Amino acid sequence: MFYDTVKGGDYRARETNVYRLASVSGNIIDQCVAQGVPFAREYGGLLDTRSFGGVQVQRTFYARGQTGQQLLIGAYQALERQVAAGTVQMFARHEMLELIVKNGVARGIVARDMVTGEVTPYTADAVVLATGGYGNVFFLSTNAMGCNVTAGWRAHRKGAYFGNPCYTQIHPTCIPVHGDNQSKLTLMSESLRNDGRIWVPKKAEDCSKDPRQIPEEDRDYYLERIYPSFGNLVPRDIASRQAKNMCDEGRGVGPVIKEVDADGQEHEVRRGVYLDFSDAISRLGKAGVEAKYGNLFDMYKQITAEDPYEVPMRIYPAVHYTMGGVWVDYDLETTIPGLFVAGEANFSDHGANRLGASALMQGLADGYFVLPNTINDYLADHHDGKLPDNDPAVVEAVNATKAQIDRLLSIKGSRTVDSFHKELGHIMWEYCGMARSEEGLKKAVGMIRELKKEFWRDVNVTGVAEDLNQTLERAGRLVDFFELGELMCIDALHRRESCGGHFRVEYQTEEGEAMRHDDEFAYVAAWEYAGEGGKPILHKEPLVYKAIELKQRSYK
Amino acid sequence: MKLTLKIWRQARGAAQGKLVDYKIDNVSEDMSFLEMLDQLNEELTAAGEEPVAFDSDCREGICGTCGVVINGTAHGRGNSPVPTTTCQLHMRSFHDGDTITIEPWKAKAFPVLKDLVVDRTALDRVIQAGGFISVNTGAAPDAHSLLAPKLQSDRAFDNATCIGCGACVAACPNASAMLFTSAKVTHLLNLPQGQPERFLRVKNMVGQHDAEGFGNCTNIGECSAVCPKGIQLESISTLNRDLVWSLFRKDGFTVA
Amino acid sequence: MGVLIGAAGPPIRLLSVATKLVTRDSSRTANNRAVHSTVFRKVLMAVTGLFLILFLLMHMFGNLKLLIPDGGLEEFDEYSHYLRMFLYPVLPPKFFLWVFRLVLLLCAVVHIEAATRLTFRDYDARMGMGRYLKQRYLAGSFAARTMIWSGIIILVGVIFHLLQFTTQTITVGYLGSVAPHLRVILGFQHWWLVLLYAFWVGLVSFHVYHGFYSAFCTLGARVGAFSAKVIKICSVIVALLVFFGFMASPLAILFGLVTA
Repeated sequence: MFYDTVKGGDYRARETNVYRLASVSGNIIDQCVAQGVPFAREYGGLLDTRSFGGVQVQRTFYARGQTGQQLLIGAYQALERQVAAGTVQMFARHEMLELIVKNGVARGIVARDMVTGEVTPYTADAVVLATGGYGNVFFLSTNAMGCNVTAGWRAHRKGAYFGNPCYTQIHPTCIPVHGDNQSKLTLMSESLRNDGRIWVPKKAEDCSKDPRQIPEEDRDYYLERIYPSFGNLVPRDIASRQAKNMCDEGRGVGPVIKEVDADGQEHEVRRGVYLDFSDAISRLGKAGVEAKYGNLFDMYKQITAEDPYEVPMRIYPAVHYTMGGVWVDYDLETTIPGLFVAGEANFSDHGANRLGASALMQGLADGYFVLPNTINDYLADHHDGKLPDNDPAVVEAVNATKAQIDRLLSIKGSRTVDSFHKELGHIMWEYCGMARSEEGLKKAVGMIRELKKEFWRDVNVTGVAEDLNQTLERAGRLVDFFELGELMCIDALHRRESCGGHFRVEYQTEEGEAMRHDDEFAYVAAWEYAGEGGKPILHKEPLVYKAIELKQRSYK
Repeated sequence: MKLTLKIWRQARGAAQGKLVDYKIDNVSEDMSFLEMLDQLNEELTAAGEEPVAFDSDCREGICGTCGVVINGTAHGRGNSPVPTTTCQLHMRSFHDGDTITIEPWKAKAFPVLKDLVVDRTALDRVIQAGGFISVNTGAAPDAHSLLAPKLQSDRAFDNATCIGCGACVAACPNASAMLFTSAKVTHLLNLPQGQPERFLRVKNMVGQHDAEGFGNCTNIGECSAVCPKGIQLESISTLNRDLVWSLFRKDGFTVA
Repeated sequence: MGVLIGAAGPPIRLLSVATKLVTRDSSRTANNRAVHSTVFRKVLMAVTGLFLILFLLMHMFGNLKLLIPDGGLEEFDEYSHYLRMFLYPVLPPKFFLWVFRLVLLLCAVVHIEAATRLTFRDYDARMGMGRYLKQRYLAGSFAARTMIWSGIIILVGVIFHLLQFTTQTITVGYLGSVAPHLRVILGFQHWWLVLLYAFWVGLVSFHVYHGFYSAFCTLGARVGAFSAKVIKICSVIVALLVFFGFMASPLAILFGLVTA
């Protein structure tokens, strides 16, 4: 598993971190089972396993199609136990808006009560951010609506380096976009690829036909064709990019969408490929498929009004996970002493691409097995007493937070927050999505700067600060997304190679595979904030592989 | 399609709210219900009005954050052909020209924070009272050391799918959270690792449920009818049985 | 959202009190809370309710004796007498009857007390009347939602019934005190009394229909889809039995099939 994860991450992960992750992964399962997560069982009472994207053996423990959700509920229940015990104090509906740094050390946060609007400092001896990923910079992603980068970005502005921001995972099995008002893309469990076969028509003229009318010989099972040994179970980045390639070739399926390409040319494409279960249904029977994937099929039908037992599903890639994040060392500590970052919010374990089921694993490993040890170590040397609320560092942080809120509310322009966010999302998806080019990225940086200026001139944030104000919340998050988006493009621009979730069209093999440049880019790009409008400063952390040999990833 | 919306507006801290009429046009039937509300909010913002506050997060029916009463049924179950959360209800379930009434969950234990947003921390406190297994990190034995019968762990799973959205409370004519509480209890009591605390758990959780001011269950079945995860009344029956049994057991004992 | 962990300094700070558990009463033990819980009250209601249903069925078989041709009336009187003399001479006369009456009364009191408390509680929990401006029910039967109202009317009916047939404070169709079977026959020769009883018994079976089902659910007998179905079917049978069993005699009397 150690090897799989390093390889899946396209040799851009820190080897030691992955090793640790792999070694505690068994403990995670033990812990979760003990906490009451109902993993699937065999009749003998042992835990059941199945295979998952990017691995050839059945080694993933699962809980129907909702493993992640069940692990979350398990962790939530364990958390509530601590709340009842009095060891954890919960602040529901609070949002961190600023980090308090005193003498270069993280000493607390400033949070806004999202119900009353009250801005309060919370001082502490150490701060842990477990604030998730920033996929919503693309507006449309499979992330929940509330996901944002604000906590991580505020820490970045206060001096924490931001690692590998351009590594974005595009998940292959999502339900295609239906229209302009879409707010959110829906991910279907990757487990579907275990039994479903992905194909597009061989001939572009077949694309408008009912898929059931297309004979077997006119179907192109492109993943099975190109990657005979892994077939439909290739890692996510590859599955996604190939789906995009097929659609770019004009062999996509589903409704026709008008798109404007980088040259300003408008053309029509279909964005979707088929995920076909007819073989699985004839092999396992409808009941067999239902037992395995029933809930996913129901979900698909509910969203699209098509019955996947009858018609093949249509899927298309969507932003799902961000491998980048706040840079942390082996102890998960950032460049600001006393600030620790865990889970998706940090950059540490996945390199340029993440394998199936390992986001949960990383989050749980960080929280259960890493931080409890590393924080203790930090605290042993740092006990400076309570930081009073009237300390200049605290007051400054609180005032900065309030000033930004007031500034947002005072603009009273004409455009809504979401319209800006959608536009930013379009730019990011077009130029910093599945395929990136030097020209496109440069253009994107300019466009984002323009958009940001317009935002500060013309946004309309309704309501008042001292209220439950969702527009204000979104506006504040968008401010950070603008800056992050720009850094993502800059990072993507500087990394002149293709690896994992980062694919530069200039750097590919003749077969269209990602081409790495290990001699030049085998490092983590950790960016330092250089002030408003300043040029971010690049720091390089070389990646040294001692246990695993660096080689071209192959899933053929 | 064109719709008339009657939406509950309640200022923060206000004791009462009222239904306000809104007209909305160009609603596509592929949109989800919340996307329709997004569109309304965009239009309201453009018109300089304060948008409608509502909760949502994952928008794929798994987090339990969203939830409003639509046309008198929680999550709009009455309009949907299948069990659903509000985010997974799609506009194709409605017709052009329809009038849709949208209200928040209403129960004493769920105070309205603003408009359609309610405070559901009461459910958290029910979990805090015992909806967990007391195991400290790092102390867990090997996962295979406890064998779990497959069908029984499947039953645990069925109950573990509860996302705590609160629709059961909203739909229950008595505003009871028994379906939620029983799902959590039934989840843990069907697992071998849930046994040691089994009877103490049910007592504490039921006690907290009552203390939060929820109503009592009268086996009507509205809760189960709107449950997006299909939790059945059997769970409540299981809880009842366990509570009775628990009275004949000393705390911390599984067998009398 | 950031998770804040306060540590070091004085260690007590880590253990500062969590989210206020305003509603938790630490003065009670878990067992105590369980005994005072809504679920336990429901269990009491279920047990007492089932006992009352049992009594109803017994009462009904007694009533049906009126319909036995040739000598049914005498048997009815004898049954009425026997109830008073049951277990005599082991016990004093009417002793069993009074014990039985007291148990019944106790059941009724417990049942009603629990119902009243729970109903007020529910009213409070859903914040009174007019909860949703638009309300639609999907599953629950009308009977299930109106148990308290059918219950109240039944209680009034029971009082009337006792005044009429047991104490004979209210007499219909005769004056003074007569033999048990005459009380029934003379009374039910009036169509309006039959109608009144039909309404009342109808409500009783309505109440029994959901009550029977609900009691078994509350006692934990509903373990799966199949048992749910069995309980449901049984509750329909019992409800129908109660209605037709009780209405058979009055109707027979009204239509002159049974005469004094």
